[in-house]
Amino acid sequence: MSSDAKILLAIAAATVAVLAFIVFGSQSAGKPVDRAVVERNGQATGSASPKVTLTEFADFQCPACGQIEPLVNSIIAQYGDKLKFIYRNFPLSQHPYAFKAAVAAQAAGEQGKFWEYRQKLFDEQESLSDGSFEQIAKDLNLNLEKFNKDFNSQAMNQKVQADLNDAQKLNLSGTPSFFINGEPVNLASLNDLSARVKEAIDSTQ
Amino acid sequence: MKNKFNTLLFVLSLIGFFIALYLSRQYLAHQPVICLTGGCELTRLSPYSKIAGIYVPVYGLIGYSLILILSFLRTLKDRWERTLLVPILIIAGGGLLFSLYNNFVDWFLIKTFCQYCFACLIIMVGLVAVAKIELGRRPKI
Repeated sequence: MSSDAKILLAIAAATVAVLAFIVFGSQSAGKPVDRAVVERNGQATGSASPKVTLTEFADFQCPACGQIEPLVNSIIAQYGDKLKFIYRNFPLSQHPYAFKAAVAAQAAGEQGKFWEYRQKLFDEQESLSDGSFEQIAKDLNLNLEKFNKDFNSQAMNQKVQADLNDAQKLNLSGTPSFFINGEPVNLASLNDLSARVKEAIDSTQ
Repeated sequence: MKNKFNTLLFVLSLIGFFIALYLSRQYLAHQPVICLTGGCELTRLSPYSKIAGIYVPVYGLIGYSLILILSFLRTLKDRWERTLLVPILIIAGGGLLFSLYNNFVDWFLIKTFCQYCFACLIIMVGLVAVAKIELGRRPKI
């Protein structure tokens, strides 16, 4: 075998070894998911005695989360009496306003307007800036003084951080990540979600 | 090292191979991909994620594997150094067109930016350029 062949084999072997170390060192595949961790702490809507609980970990600046939002809303509307929907935050570090947006939505939630605020954030996700949060609060007729106080409070920050910690604990690799009754939902397309929710609801009847 | 250009072909196709391997795994398991740009999930979940019923990254996996094997084989026999360059150039050229199509779909149809698709485009440009240079350096036998 020539020296070049040996070098190429060495490069391939070293790359495989490094990647195997990274992949297997960080993987928890096959570990059972703790439903309590999935469903605690979030903002919830829908049935108080649900047959099925759908949980979403999302990021307000994630394009796929924005794209799937109308579908999530239609699922909530369609199965409202049987379904509980829990929204949890997984703001990704590469999105500069994602964490702030999550905190702002929590602050709006203190005035009972989490879902309206969430909708606005997704509607405006491509143009979010530092000025967006107060503007959305104004548009929703929130008490601005209270909103700003909550927005800057440690408590709201910690709520989002708790969601983020849980997302990391669950080893979520991206957004949106969905769970039905605490079990991860693996989607092949955006429309898969409604089929999976329907399946889960049908299986309870 | 006798042939730095061939090592470059090998390294580029190895990088592409691992990107395609990771994406194929995530696509086939229907799991989200880690994405710095945020657009990769839109691409994965879109109707354009499959061509002829096969996930796009699987085509990449096949292409990069072939270039990887061929660039390794080139080191084994002197006479293969030129003869195997032609199929490498053809595969890389096809891969470049395929990558251009995928990025076009991302940018103009899905209206997103997928870091992996763009990385594959850059790798394919690199592979075609290096294979072309390498072919020019080796006279026909």
